Amino acid sequence: MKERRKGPIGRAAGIAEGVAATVRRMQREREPRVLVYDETGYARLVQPDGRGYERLLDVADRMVALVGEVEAEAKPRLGRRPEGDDEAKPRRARAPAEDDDEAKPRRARRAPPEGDDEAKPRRARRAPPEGDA
Amino acid sequence: MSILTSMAGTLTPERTAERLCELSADARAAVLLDAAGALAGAHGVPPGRAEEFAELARELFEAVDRADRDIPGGPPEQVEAQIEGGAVYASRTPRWTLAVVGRRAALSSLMLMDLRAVLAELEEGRPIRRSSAAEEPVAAEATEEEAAGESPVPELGREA
Repeated sequence: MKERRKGPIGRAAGIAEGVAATVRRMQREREPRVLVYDETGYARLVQPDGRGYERLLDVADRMVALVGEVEAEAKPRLGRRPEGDDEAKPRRARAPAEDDDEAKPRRARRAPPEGDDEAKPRRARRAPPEGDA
Repeated sequence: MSILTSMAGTLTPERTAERLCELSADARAAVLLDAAGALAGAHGVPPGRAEEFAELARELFEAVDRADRDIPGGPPEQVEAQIEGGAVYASRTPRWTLAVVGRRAALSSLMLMDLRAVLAELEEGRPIRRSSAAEEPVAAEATEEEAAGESPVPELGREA
């Protein structure tokens, strides 16, 4: 039975061990592997240095790639909205239209009015006049 | 518990690949070859690419037979190849070869069992028994008045 650690350092070490074990397990699961089964269901692992291993992986890779391509081609077709679907339009309408007067007053409020002297010192701070230096 | 039993002898070679994909949620595409290695049916790939898929399934077992010379034991009937983007499973009988591309997370034992079961159904007409979860007995329909008074929080519910 695993001994239970006490204290915050022990708990932190336990969490770190768990994370490391998960990472190791995920890496192991991602590794390619080939198994063959005989008629009794007995499994045998094809060793990476064994004959035919590379070819088996290559063929499997091509099969998965083919299906992936087919699925990728099918997805945009499924996702395409039918023409005349009005429900999609309000989202696109977020961009301001030419005759949209709502957006203009906001900008006008932000922009300083003509002849406003308070805005000038700010500009002077960013770009000092040549004679200053 | 309800048990759905398919009719014996109704599975055709053309429908076998589709049947496998119906049976297994992790199956993405499948292909069936006859004893001569010719395409007998495919599912999950368009007809234009089915022959290419069948050719790869043929190559898979050729590679298995080549690798088998170094492996002790009887001739392989099933093969499983796990790669990064998915997994390939294939099973063969003297008459048929069935190959499937599945998701990487698929359980190998389940997928191989499904392959065997579908091939057995095709060859012997042995029906696949599928079970679904037991359904709870449906209570009498609630009236609108009762539904309105129902609250997910018992304390706030209408007092009887």
